[in-house]
Amino acid sequence: MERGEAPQSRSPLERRARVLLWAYPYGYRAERGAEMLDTLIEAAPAGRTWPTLTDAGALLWGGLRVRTAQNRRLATPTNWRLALLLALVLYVAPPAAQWIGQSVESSVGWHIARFDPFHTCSLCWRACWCGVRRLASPFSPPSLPPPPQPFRRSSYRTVR
Amino acid sequence: MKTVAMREPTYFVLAALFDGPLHGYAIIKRAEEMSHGRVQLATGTLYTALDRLVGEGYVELVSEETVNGRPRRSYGLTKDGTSALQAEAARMAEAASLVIDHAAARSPYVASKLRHA
Repeated sequence: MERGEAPQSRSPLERRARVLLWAYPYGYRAERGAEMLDTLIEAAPAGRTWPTLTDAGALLWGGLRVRTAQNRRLATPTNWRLALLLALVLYVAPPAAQWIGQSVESSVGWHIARFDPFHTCSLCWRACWCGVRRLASPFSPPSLPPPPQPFRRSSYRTVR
Repeated sequence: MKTVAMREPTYFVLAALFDGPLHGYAIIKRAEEMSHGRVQLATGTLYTALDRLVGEGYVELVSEETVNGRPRRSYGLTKDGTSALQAEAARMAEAASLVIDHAAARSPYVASKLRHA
């Protein structure tokens, strides 16, 4: 979205709607964000400072749909492999986190017991996620047909 | 031709464009007007529908201008879109005629049902 715009000209509604637009992927937002914002603000009754619940829901749902459509760029077998890997990680991560937390605790003493499972868990997740991405990359086919371009000359599916 | 019934927002988006190209907010307003306030499209719903309709070749980008520093794009029906809309309208009219034009609608049984309702 346009970054150079004067921030003081933004109404509360606009600021909040902009946050909701983050549901959409970057490329799509760059292409359609301003237009959608314009429509949303125009459609809102005067004096409204928050988007309606329906609007918020529709934006989040719409963003999810665009993101899912984007993921369809990967071939179905690739998506299945990814899903399988992710499922494995989900299955393995919590016990691993617990085990690491316990071993750290027992080896260093109770002072480090603050090394809470949540923190350990999130570190573990992060590591696992990096692993999944690394593992998944060789699976992605070298060349895919270009995605359809519904709206504009430039595709909103472009990756930053 | 598609045999699946259109969803209501889709139908009203297409119907709103029947008189000519409109931009986002105008589509929302026109759809609300046409349905007597029943169909109130959320912005996200509208653009999801537009994306899909453009993908199906029913709607196209007609013009683009800048208003208040923001792009305002107008969308219009394509030939395919017009025929799809008309086909859908015909389908619904046929379905409606089962009840509206049916002799049963004027039968004593239906009349009695309506009286007791």
